Amino acid sequence: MRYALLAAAILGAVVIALLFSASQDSPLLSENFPKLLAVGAAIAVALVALVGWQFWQLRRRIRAGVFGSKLTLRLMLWFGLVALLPASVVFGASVFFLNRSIESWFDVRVDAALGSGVNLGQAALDDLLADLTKKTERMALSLSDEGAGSVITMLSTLRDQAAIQEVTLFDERGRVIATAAGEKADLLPELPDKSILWQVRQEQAYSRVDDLPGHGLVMRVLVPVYSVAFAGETRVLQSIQAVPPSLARDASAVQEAYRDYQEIAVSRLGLKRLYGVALTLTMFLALLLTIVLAYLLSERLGSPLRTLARGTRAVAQGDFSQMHPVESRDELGALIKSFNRMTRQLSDARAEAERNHLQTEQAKAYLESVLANLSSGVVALDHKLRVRAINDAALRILDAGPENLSGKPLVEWGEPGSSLRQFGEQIAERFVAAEGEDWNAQLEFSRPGQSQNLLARGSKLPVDVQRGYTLVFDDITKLIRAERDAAWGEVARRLAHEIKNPLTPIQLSAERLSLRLTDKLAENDADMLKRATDTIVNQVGAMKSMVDAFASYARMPSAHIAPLDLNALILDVLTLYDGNFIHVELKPGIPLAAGDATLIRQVIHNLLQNAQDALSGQSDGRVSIQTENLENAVRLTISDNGPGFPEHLMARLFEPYATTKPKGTGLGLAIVKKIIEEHQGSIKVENQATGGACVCVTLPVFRKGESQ
Amino acid sequence: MPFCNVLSRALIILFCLFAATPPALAGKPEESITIQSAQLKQSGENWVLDAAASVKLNKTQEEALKKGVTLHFVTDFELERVRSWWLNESLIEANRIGRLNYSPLTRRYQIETTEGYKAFDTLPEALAGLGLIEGWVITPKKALKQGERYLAAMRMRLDLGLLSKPLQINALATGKWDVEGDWHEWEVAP
Repeated sequence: MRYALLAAAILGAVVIALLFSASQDSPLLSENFPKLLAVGAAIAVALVALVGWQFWQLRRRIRAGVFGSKLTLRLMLWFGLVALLPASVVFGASVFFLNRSIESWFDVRVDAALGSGVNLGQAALDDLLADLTKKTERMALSLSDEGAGSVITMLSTLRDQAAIQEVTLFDERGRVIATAAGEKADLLPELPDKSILWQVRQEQAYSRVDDLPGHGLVMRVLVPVYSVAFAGETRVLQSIQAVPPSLARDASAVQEAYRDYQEIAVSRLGLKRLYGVALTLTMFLALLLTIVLAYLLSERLGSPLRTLARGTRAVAQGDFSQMHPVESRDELGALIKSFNRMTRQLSDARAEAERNHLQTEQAKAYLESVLANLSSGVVALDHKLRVRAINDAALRILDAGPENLSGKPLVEWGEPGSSLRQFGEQIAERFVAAEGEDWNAQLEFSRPGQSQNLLARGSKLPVDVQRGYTLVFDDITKLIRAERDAAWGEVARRLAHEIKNPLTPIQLSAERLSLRLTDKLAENDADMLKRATDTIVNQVGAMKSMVDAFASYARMPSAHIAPLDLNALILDVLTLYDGNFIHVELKPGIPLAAGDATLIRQVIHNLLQNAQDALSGQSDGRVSIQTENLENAVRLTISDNGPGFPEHLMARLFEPYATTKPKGTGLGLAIVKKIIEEHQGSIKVENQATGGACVCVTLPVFRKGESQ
Repeated sequence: MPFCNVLSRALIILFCLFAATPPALAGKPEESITIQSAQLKQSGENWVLDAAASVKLNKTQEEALKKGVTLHFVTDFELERVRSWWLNESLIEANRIGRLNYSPLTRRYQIETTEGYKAFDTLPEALAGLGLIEGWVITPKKALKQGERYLAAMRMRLDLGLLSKPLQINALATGKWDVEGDWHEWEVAP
């Protein structure tokens, strides 16, 4: 592109130089003039095409929104304007002065002077010619009087007298009769044309000046010679005389000048055209070159701007990696340098921010994992007691989804009237009552079928961290139950120890009283004694069995876990019962459970006993036993169609001493629960919708290497 | 952009100016030179050409001539051997120049050819003399063989290249200087 432009400029300059020199006469250029014009025009057309292409490119780039293209266009137009103004002025002035100077060559006076010069020459020649004609006519007259014999002598004499350069006498047919010539004349006389001879014979003298090449101006006069002696033949006398050299030279010079002047006058329009074309072409080429150059320069100027635009876009998209080479040492280069510096600083700042963010994230993740692995429920509240964060343990304890709690104020937890809402309201009251102080409380969170004891602790966050509160609560239900179990164990042990010991002496004493006194008393008294001692013995026996029961509860043997075929065990236990009212529905092929056969047998006994007791006095009482296979567990379900558990006892069914039976110890279900928990199974008690109680016991499946 | 239009208009005007400057080569002018007769004949040991052309000048040319511009008339002659099986073979290409000018001093029209110098009192005489070609020696007699067919062609034209440069520009621009006859062809059988 740049080289093509340079070549075009050089070629254009050469063409223009040649064009200007073409006005001088140089043979090389005479034939090539149209070609020169054509080459110039071709260059101009090529440049026009180039400019057009550049404009088209620009237009396309402007439409595409390429950054800097508008600037390029504007610079291009400015350059063009800057070039056009002086070029137009110079062009106009040149054309004006050209026309003026060409016109100034032509002057009426010069014209008239040259014309007069030529006329002067003509007049001088005419005079000379007239003089020669007269001399020749005189000679012809002399010749016509002479006889034939002495023509040559006569002619020579006459020539000498008249001082004529060359005299020749022709006969009628143009043949030379005699000739006489001076020293300067050629050897052979010049022969006249037939037409001239014919003209002369018609008695018309011929007199002309010829501009013979190599001879200069030569006068020639032909006159007829009449003579009786020639028998009526008309002879022709020709005399030739060169114009005197000084006159000839001057006349020729005037003529040459006149000719040149006239030629230039004829061709002045052409001259104007020539210079006009050359000038126009020059200006056009210069203008086009300027515009093309303007485009290139604008591109060059705009390239740092484009670089900056590219960089800005990259930065806007978050790419700080692009560094742009600084090519120029001017302000634009400095700008790019500053931009690079800014990008680097931005990049550093962002990296720093990212690092900080990462650290924060890590700290937060660490905190969250700690919170998530806490068994305590942790709830973060803002200053309006809205939940900001809540950990998994809290959700598990409250048995609620995060969507019910997150972002909600405490008093709007759960559905209105639900236990969750009540719990939330309780805590909110505590926070309000504490007035910013820390508080501890044991709260009951009771839901249908389940009651939990929660130990909650509320505290206010330090003011300099963030305004808000934290609530931490633990499910201490199991802890309380364990405490209660331990207490009951202690009671049982005490009973065994403190009560059972006196029972044997009491029984022995009663028996001895009966043995010793029965014979000594009267029959009435003996009977009374016997009844009394029997009563004592029986009651002591009953008390002993009750104490044993407590003792067995307190000293529950630890379970020996072994593979246990639950179905076989159930069938074995059922042999002891009247099978009429028991409906057995065992699933064949259930996996072996992990359990202690002795303890599980007691569980089944206890549950069946309970059911049987519940159905006493009911003629259509039925008990059903089912086994099921669960995932990694087996389930035993014992249900009846009796009255079911009383609702008020549901929460404390598994506590010792909770019984519905008039004679029960209230230890049956407590023992069952203890055994199942020792097996890491679960037990669930509920009243069926159709009436009657239902107890579900789930035991884990036995796995090898798990026993003990 | 207001000056965009101005600039483009200026460019267009310039271009039109430039484009208009080269000649609009107007339609062919009426025949100014016609070959009236042409004959190739044997004369001694040579083939010589006798021909007569009628030359007419238009007003512009006549005026220029009167003002002293020398007009160069070129006579082109070509001789080809006719070949029925292939393109004709070009044997001879010859030309001669006749210079016509007016001498204000002697008030005569002068013709200079290779054969010599002639002067005429009037322009028609001079033009007739210019058009008259007698005994232009073309080629030796033996160059043309008996039994072959030959095609001769001649034309006469005004050589613009020998005009002065400004006049050439005028000639290119106006088209008033195109004096060029058509080729006159005839067959020659020795």
